[in-house]
Amino acid sequence: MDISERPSHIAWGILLIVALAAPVLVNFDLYLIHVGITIAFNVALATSLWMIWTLGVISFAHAGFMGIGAYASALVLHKLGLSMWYGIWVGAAISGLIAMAIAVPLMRTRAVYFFMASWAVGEVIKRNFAFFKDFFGGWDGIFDIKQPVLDLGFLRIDFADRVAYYYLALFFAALTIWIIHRMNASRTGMIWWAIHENELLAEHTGINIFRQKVVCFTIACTLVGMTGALYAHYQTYISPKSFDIWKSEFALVHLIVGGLTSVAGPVSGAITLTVIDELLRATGYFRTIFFGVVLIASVLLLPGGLETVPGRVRKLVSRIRQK
Amino acid sequence: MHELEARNLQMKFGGVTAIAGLTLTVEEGEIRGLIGPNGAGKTTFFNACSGRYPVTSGEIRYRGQKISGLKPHQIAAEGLVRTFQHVTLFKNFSVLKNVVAGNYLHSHHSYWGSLFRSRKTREAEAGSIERAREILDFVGLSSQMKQQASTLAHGHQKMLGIAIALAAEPRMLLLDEPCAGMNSDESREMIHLVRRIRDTGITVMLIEHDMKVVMGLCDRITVLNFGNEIADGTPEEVRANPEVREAYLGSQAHVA
Amino acid sequence: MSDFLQMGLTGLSLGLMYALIAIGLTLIFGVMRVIQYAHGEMFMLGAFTLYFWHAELGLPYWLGVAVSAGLIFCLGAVLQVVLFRPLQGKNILYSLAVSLGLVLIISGSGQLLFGTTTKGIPSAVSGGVLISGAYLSYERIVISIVSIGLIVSLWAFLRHSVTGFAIRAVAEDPETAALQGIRTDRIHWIAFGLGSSMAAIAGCMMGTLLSIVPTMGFLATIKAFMIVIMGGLGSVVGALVGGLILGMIDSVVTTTISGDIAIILSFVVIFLILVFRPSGLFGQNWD
Repeated sequence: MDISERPSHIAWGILLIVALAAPVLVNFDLYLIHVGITIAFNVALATSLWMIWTLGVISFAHAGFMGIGAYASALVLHKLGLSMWYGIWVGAAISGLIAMAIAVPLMRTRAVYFFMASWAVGEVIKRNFAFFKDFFGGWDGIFDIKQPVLDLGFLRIDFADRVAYYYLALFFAALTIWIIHRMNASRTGMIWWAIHENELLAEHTGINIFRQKVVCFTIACTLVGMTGALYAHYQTYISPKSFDIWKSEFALVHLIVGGLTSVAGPVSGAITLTVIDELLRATGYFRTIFFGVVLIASVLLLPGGLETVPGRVRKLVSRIRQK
Repeated sequence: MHELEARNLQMKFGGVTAIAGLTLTVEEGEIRGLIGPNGAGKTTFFNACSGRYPVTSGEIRYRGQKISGLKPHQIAAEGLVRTFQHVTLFKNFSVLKNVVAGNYLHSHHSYWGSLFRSRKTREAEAGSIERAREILDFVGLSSQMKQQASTLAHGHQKMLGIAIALAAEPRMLLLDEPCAGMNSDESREMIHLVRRIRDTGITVMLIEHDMKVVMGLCDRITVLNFGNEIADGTPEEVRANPEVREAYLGSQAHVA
Repeated sequence: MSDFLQMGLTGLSLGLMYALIAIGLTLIFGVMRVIQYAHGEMFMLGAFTLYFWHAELGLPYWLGVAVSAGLIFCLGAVLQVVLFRPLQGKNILYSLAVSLGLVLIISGSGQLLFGTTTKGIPSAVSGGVLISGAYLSYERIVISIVSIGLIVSLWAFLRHSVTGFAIRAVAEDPETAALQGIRTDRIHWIAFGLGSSMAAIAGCMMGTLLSIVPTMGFLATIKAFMIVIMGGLGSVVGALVGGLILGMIDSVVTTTISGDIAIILSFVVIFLILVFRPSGLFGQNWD
């Protein structure tokens, strides 16, 4: 978008440093590192959802593709005996292929229909995991999805160690952000925003709308599939319930609250809301209620989302200075 | 070989026949006018040529190549580009970015190139920006380059629409009511622009209601009514044609 | 024959209940183009209002139904004005997020107030009639008749009253309707309230005929969207027909075929409908 948003390199730099130093800063508290890993996953999910949004389309099938990546990697481990280092690529490939196949009919739908069709896709995927009991373990799920080990001879890291997994998840989240940011800041991003702005005009200037939508959706779902694989090996247990509609909904909520016009939106939304959600754990039964209140409040009171905060602060500061 | 050729073109929507068996040809380098009362089928003809709506029967050929049945982006790639009657822009993009976007067909694009900012990609981007500046200069919008498209005056927005179409490097341009909503000064600018466009070697076909523009600008004029061609000739021939007068003004009226 | 009759009546009452929820949703969507994700929560609230009124406080049943409908109407209207109106015209995502927030709040509150065990609402009418070996409870018959009456009155309201006409006008073309002098703001909260109260009445039915639990809203929302998509977004007739069909199917099929496969198939059907015939059976194209 042309709304001038030069990614504040300083802000991203600080974020990266804090993220890298986080385990030390929290004194290696296992629970907080778990929160950190969850944040990394949520960031990846929300940002990939945003990527699809730059085309003007919102998908509700994220949970399904996360599940595909997760189950693929788990099965690669259990049936083929190969570690996550192989599983994650298999998960990515299968997610991507299925995404491409589904995108063909899916991209024929428009607007609201797309949203509901993608929701149907997510549901079908999840229930297939439940239905094919013998292969996927049914509603009981799959256990014992071991974390991988990195053996380079001179260096051996066992990712069963939570801190190690944190850095793995962080690396992946950062990679996802980088990929999506690069795509958006380039010509590809301009093409996608053009489609978003005016599909009719974009088509008449020679852009193959269908192809762009399929490619974008495939890339996004591939990244989601990889996130799913990482998730599976972290949790060591997955079931169809892990991939129900709430995962898609939370990704959507993180995106909306964070902001829709730049990468900073989904990233800030995912970080903030995951933290808020964890803080709300303390309220026990009121947790979901308060989360709902936070959600509604941010949509109504902070239109445009968290990414508009720096701009608002700047305006406020200049207004104070004028006085 | 004709530049643009329609043979027995029929366009039906549901029960309505918008175009009923139209045959016409446009030669290279012409400025061709397409006129007729409202609902005559003019914009439908453009929609058929640009691939926006599928053809019911008959065929359309551009430079000998059959284009009826192709999708809009494929037809644009052939060199046949259209503008729209109503302002159709990338509203939130700057004026410059609008034209850069229009240059898509002639600028190398690859996903890997985008990801890694390859040299080819950087050169392509620079090339597009350069070309966009040239075009904005050509149409006279250079001073508003950085403005957001939605903030432009109506007349300039229509100019921008043409600039975007020019960025696609067309061999033939279909202009749908370029002077709609313009005052006489703006219309005059538009007439000059269309002449300059033709001078660069682009064939132009335009739909217009402003008779001064049509008569002054066009080499030949085709008149449609109720989806049929009722006249075709030079401006003088068309003006003198009684059927044309009747179509526009009713049989009782006189045209001075 | 007797099984047939019994299944018929069960299917009919279930179908009418589905139809009510779906009609409510299609009304809201048709008029405001808003994805009301929290529609099922209105269903739940309606059920629990009657539960509280009749089962806990012991107050009269039919009055409770009226109170439930009225209360949820007001709630719907207030929600529309406070939460959805500020978002009118903006991105559809924002109203989706807000309705998601509502789901969390309402469903969460429901669980806090009423716990997580299922409850039932005692019937107002007891006894039944034996027809060729089939036991048809008066309760089901009365509820079916009342629902049919409600749907017919709604249809008459939309067809013949000034407000009903205004609602249909806004649903068809909001700009022209506004130009004709129709106060679209008012129509919006009326439609939202009306749609929500239909869901509430369906909830009362659910509580009486089956059982209710504070988490029931979500499944109801899914079913309502499925019906509305199949019948056509914005079409009341479509919602009615779709609801009846699904009700009949649900009361017969879930006992015979595995539940999972039935759901998978229904989602695949939904997907195909959205791709190839998005206007559903009776609807128009909302592009």
